[in-house]
Amino acid sequence: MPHVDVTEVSRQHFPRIHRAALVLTGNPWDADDLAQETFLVFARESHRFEGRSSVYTWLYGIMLNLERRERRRRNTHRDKLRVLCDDQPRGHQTVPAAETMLEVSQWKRSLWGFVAKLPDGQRQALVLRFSEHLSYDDIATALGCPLGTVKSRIFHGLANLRQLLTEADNDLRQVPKHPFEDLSNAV
Amino acid sequence: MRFEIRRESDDWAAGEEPSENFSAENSQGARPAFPLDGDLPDDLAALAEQLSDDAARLADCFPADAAERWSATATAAGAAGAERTTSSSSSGRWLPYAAAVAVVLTGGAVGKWLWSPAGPQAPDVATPRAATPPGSDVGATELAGPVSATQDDSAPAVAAPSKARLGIIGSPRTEVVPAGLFQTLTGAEQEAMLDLMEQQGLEETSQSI
Repeated sequence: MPHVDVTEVSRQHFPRIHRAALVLTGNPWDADDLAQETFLVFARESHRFEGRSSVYTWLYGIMLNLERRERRRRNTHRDKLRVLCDDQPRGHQTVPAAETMLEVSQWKRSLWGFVAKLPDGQRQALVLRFSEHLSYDDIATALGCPLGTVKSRIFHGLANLRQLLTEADNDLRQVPKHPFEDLSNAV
Repeated sequence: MRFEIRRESDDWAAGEEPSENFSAENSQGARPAFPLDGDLPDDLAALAEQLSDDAARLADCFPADAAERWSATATAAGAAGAERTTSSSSSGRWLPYAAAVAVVLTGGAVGKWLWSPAGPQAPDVATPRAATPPGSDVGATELAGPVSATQDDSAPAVAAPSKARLGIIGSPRTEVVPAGLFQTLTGAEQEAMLDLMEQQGLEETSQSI
């Protein structure tokens, strides 16, 4: 079992893990938490690293598992809140709920805001490929799935992303124009 | 709960993801191919390129502060890792925790002794220490005295009533006066805060603020 210098690994790979976490979470605060938690888990479990893969693929695997777990926890909590609040009269809400994910505008305006709507497998494959530029083999190792599955997820992920963009564009086109712009209704 | 690095199960074979595929199936019903990046259709390749650009732009906007964050993370990770690789004996494993607990207990005992009625700063009832300015030599010399293990019932119950009433903690030389807290409160809130301090007791107040 190879000896892993946890401090050196943290120093070397923190920026890339943080970048992937930023793309996944949409804001730098959650990205910080996710990246730091990844390395804390890595420090606790470093004795299990057997050297069959590179360290950074193992780190990506840890980070993706943590992110998926947190995402499901938030969705579950949001569903519970929705059930509780459905019976409550809805007033003018000016304060976002505690579980509201805060995404920065740069992320929301980017394509990654749409990637967040994809299923977990496709979303993670796209992040590892087009944000972290991992090879297909490294992605397969990080995700623990066959190479063919990685290719499938990337292809379907891009195709679904294209459809999401098309639907978003159609929604924008259906927004009624400003009444002053509609000369056909002019008196 | 022990963290298990779970690998995703091989739920889908290549090309079989009907539940995740939003787009319509291939009109010819043939199994779609999954090319590599270089063989992607132009529109998908453009999306891929834009994804990369957006990721780079996000990283530039919100970089990982290498000077501080990875240093702090590396320190924490290294400490966590070193903690695991320390001696297997139970005494060695609990040594850092025991040291931390010892420091906390020592600090708490010293603080309690300083402000206890039997401590060195215990004033005479007839001559309250309200007029004693902080950081005075009287307090300094009394601090050098031995720690009183038990409280003398004849000792006055109040030590430095004016400073304790205001919730001043710490040694006379290093007072922490939460004046800013009171400055932000209205008159009614200040009164309520003072009443609360009186009810909770001087020692609890000094520890909580």
